[in-house]
Amino acid sequence: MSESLPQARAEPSLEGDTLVVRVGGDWRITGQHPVWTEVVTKQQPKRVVVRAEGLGTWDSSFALFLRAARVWAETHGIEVVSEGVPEAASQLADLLAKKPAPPAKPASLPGLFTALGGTTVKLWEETKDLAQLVGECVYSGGRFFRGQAQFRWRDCFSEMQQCGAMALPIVGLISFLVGIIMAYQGAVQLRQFGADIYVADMVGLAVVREMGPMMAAIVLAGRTGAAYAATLGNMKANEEIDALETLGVSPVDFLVMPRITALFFMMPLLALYSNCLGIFGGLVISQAILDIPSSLYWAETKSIIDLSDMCTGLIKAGSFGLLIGVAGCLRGLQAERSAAGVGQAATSAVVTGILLVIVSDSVYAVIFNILGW
Amino acid sequence: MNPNDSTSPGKFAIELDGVTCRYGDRTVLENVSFAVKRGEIFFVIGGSGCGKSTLLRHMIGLKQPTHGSVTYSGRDFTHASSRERQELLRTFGVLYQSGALWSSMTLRENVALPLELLTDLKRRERDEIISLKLAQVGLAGYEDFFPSELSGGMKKRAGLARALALDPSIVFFDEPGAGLDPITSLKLDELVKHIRDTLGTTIVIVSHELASIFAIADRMVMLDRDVKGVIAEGDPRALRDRSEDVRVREFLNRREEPVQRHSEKAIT
Repeated sequence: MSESLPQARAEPSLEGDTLVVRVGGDWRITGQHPVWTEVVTKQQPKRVVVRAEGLGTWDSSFALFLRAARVWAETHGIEVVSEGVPEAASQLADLLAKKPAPPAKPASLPGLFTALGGTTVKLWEETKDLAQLVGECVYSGGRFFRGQAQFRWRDCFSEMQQCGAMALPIVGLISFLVGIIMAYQGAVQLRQFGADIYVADMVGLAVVREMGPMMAAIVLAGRTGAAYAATLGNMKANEEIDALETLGVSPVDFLVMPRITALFFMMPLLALYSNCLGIFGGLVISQAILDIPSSLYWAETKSIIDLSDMCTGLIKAGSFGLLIGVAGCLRGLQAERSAAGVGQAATSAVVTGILLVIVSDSVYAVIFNILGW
Repeated sequence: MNPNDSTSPGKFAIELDGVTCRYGDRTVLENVSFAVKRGEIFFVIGGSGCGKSTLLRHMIGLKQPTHGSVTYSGRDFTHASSRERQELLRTFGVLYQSGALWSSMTLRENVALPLELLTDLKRRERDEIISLKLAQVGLAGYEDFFPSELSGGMKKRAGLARALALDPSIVFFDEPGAGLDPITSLKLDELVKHIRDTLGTTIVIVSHELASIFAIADRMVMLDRDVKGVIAEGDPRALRDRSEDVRVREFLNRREEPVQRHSEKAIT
């Protein structure tokens, strides 16, 4: 038995009340090696001896085996003795035996009230953060009008280009397609009553009052809101915002206000553009499917849309711009200082932006209804 | 604009009096007090997680201490009104760990921004100062480079140029040697010493680079995570050889002493 076998082995034999396990061969964690629970099956010894005979090279797999033997012996209340086992292997097994302190118990699923309370507290914190940023923006606006704010028009203009001019293609395409979809759906229904020409009224009113500003807002929430959050979040992670603060420059004056201002001025323009393209989409479909001449479609559109419709749309667009800007900057400034934090900030900026836009749209619907606009 | 304005009261550039720093319920530092003399190179050292960077953030006003106060040239910074705070902020510059250059601007614009916002200099004078500051840190000719086009060491030097833009009387460094090779780190040390020697600037460095400490430090304090405060203050060379505290000797000699380990966590 003295020749070293390449295969790791563990042979049990019962000698009276003692179970002798002869271990030998080369123990490799990457290769085949015996498992303690397969070595001891039905035996019920009073004592266990692990005897190394012809043990070649060994590694952690051997330590695991020794450890399993000790655990088994402990649970059955019997003694285990090692003979000829290398000291280092024994020590390694000891190390395995040392269980680290149990980590803090993971919180089990909170009860309904705990969850409700937690969510309420979180919502309250979020509201406070939002209110604080809005308050700081108002202060910054005050400083701006007194000529004390560190507001850079240069930054504001470059943001305007980014969120305004550069967004024209995507806003145009989406508005045009939405115009087409609405006109097509309307045409199918209205044709049954011979009311084809009212497609122009429907598309015109819906686009100018609702869909134009809304489409522009949703595109910008995804495009610009996320970009603001990612930029500010990355600047925060990179200590660039700290660097501004230690210079005595308010990040709200310097970073947030130019962005929000840019969106505030660009959103109504984009909404106007979106209105035009939406109406054009309706016109194309009406001419192609309903055979309504474009001049007639245009005359009908002009007769139904008045200034108040236009104004409600543009007022909404301006405030959507503010909301998207605030949501984007808020999430950026709240971001954790890590790559994952920046990603989360961008995601939640889009979600918050769209949520605020839809909520404020419904509030406007009620207000305009009361005012009769 | 002389950084060593002799009219400022007090012998100390910075004094910390019983500063306590907390994040939520967790106390990071408790009752920290020390003072930094004018024109000295002062190190704040300690093992990882002992609160060095936290202390720096509280000193430069990014965080407000829970208790205690930070005083610059005898003027209370912690409880200052916002106007006074703005004034004090302009007396010091900070070099952040990664340089924290504004990534959307060139080096010229980075250094120009503090000058643009806080001084009435004409454009030409401003450009001259920018070139001077960049030359001071060995980056002459790099005015139109963006931060992303520079190496780590260059970013730090550019950050230093920006920190020096307003000729501050104090400059804080957050781990200046982190991520730099030994030679670049050595050059940065020499630059720091040169700036102190020529401008008389007070320098506060948060670091655990022993080579830098022994090369340029006049004095240092050592923070400890278990004590949550200062365990040693003085000349690093003297502390290394003669400190009675085993943790300080171990840290400064970069070895664990075999007998009577005071605390297992002193080094880890």
